Amino acid sequence: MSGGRRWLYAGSLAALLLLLLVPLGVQNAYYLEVLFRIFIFAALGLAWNLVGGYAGQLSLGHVAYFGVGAYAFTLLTLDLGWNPWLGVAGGVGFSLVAALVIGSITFRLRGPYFTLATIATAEILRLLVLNLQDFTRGAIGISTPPLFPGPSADRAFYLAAVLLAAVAYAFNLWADRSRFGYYLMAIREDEDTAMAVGVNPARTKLLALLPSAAITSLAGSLYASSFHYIQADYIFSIDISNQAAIVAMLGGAGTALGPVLGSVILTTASELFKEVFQTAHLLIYGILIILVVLFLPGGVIGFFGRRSRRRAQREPGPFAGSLSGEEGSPRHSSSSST
Amino acid sequence: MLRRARLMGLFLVAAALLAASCGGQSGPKPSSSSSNPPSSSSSSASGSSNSSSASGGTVTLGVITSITGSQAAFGQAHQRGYEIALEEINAKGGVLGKKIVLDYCDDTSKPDQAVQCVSKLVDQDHVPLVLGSYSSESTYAIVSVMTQKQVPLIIPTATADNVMQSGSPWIFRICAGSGDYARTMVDFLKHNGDPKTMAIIYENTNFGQSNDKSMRQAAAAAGIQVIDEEAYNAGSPDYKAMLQKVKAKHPDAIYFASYLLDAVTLMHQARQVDLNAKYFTAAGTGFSAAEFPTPDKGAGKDAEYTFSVNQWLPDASWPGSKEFDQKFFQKYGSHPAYHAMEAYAALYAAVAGIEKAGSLDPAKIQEALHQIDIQTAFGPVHFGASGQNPHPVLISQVQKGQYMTVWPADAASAKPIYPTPPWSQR
Repeated sequence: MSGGRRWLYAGSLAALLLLLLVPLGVQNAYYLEVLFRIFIFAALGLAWNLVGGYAGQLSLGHVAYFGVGAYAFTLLTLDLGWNPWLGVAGGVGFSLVAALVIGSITFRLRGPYFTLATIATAEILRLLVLNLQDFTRGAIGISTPPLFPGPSADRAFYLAAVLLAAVAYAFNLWADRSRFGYYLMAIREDEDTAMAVGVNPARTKLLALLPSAAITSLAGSLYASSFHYIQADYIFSIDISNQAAIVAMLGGAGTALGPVLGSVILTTASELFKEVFQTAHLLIYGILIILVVLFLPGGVIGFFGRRSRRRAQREPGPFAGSLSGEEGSPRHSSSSST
Repeated sequence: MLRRARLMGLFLVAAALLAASCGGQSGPKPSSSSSNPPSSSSSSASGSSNSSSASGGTVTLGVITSITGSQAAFGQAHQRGYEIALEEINAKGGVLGKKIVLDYCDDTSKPDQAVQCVSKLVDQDHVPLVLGSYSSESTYAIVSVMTQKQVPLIIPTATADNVMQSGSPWIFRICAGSGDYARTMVDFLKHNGDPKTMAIIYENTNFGQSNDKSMRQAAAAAGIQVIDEEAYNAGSPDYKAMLQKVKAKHPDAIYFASYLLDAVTLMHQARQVDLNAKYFTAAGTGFSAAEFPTPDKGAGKDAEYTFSVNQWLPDASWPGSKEFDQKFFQKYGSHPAYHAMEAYAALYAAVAGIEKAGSLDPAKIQEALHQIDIQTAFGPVHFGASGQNPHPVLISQVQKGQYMTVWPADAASAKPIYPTPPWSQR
């Protein structure tokens, strides 16, 4: 273990401990709920990042696992009388099965075709849930069972979201520097070359999708329970898929810290805009995202990474290189050498 | 690499535009702490430091409604109803001797945002009472949170039966529910020609599915046979195949649960496929909107003879109804539908509850709300033990381009016209 890596792990652990202590200082339920959302979307962005960032597969159908997690947890608990936490685990099980099925179909496609296929699978699930009324209550929706009963539920939900984001972050760190992660990046950079040197792209991508789907499913269950109510049109809404992708890209796709930063920035910004700009908040929010795309194509991490790497004669973030005319090179070599 | 980056860039731009345009926000936004447009300066009298909603000589009440998103038109109706009530009440000295300020929170027409709004209004702004939301989806979503936080909620417009099913003592509803809609319509039909068969056509949402379910039960109880049930998705503008299917079954009556645009299209296309039923009936909403019988924004002549359940019409005999209609017309240049009236009455009910409680303690207000019995322009309001105001449902019919109240008999301003003449004879 190199010095840089040790510092990274120590820093991450310290940050986690600090975040777990936050509820001691913040008692206001509203702030806790905003923080809960920040970390739920950080977890979603991190989960998406495994497939969309490291492996470069632009999935816009991650809401499928989110929705399956939410609905499986709710229906298993309410209709089959399972313990809620067993229901959450059941949701993960269903999501893994869904990931195997969806992955084995969609990963045969590349580029825009893959993206469209992921959107389509999520939409199919939404329509199924909407129309299988006897089974899912259809458009009427369901009140979800509480995972944390009692008055300190806000605190418990926040802590659960932080822990989930931490697990997702650990997976990202692993992808950042394991052999498996390098396989994913090889596929991202050039799938044919990766195959030529012995990487099985279909299998590798599917293996990356499994933890991604499991984390997304857990986020779905938590979200469902925290908001007390689910309904197909919004729990399977493409907005959630987009949000997962935007959070990761804004912070820096293909980096472990990027999605966390992205979620903190986006959630806080939209919160502040609502207060400051009132009804124009959506417009301002949209303009901000466009500006970020134009001027920070590698995300926030890409921006700062570029500055430090320029000094070290290295190359910007994963999506920045092409837009600024440079070609890709293994960006990750820098991380372990500091 | 290059291609993918462009794809990602394109996607981000597209997503940003989507987020900006359709109000389909993808960011977590709990609330817009916007205030009421004309009067407010102090609705942001709600900082985290300010733990009392009664400070500075004002009382801040929470309002959740759909200011942006797909139901923004109805959210606007809400806002207008609230504003008129607010002006009247404040002109008369407010409540407990203090002026009222409304703290609006936009649920962007989405249930999860409505839940977030509850947290903003209750935990952050410490309002003693909340009014809202617009849709049945958003309202159903906040019922259990309001109960958990122990702050009373007054529901102006959500009709789905499940919003009152929890039996929570913190939930109060001004309007009648979908079960009352179906029972009143069936009661009307039994007394006016007694059709034997019925088809139900509904939009595939909480509103549509609730009304379908209620009508299926009410019709069965009254011995009307439901021979066809058709669900459609809003936004697919061709209903002709579905209407042909209904036509082949020759129902005596058709019951629609539709929003405005689909209601207009359904009636135009019913004429095109020559679908003749003796009764075209509907569960309010689109079929009772002010625009529906008009030629430019609605179905024009094709709306003629349609029956709809209705919660309130400007010609209602309750004192204050006509004045509200006039005030609304002067202020906004159009006539109000019942959604604005329900918001208006909800604020009056809230004020009555607070006055009776003599305090801004949510628990005391909750107790008092169960006991109030007031006269409003929307009719008498008393929530009783159940929290459901027993509001009478009216049946209206479009006659010569106007909504006329035809049922119940004691409130009727015109006689119902039935059976509906076939399209060839109109």
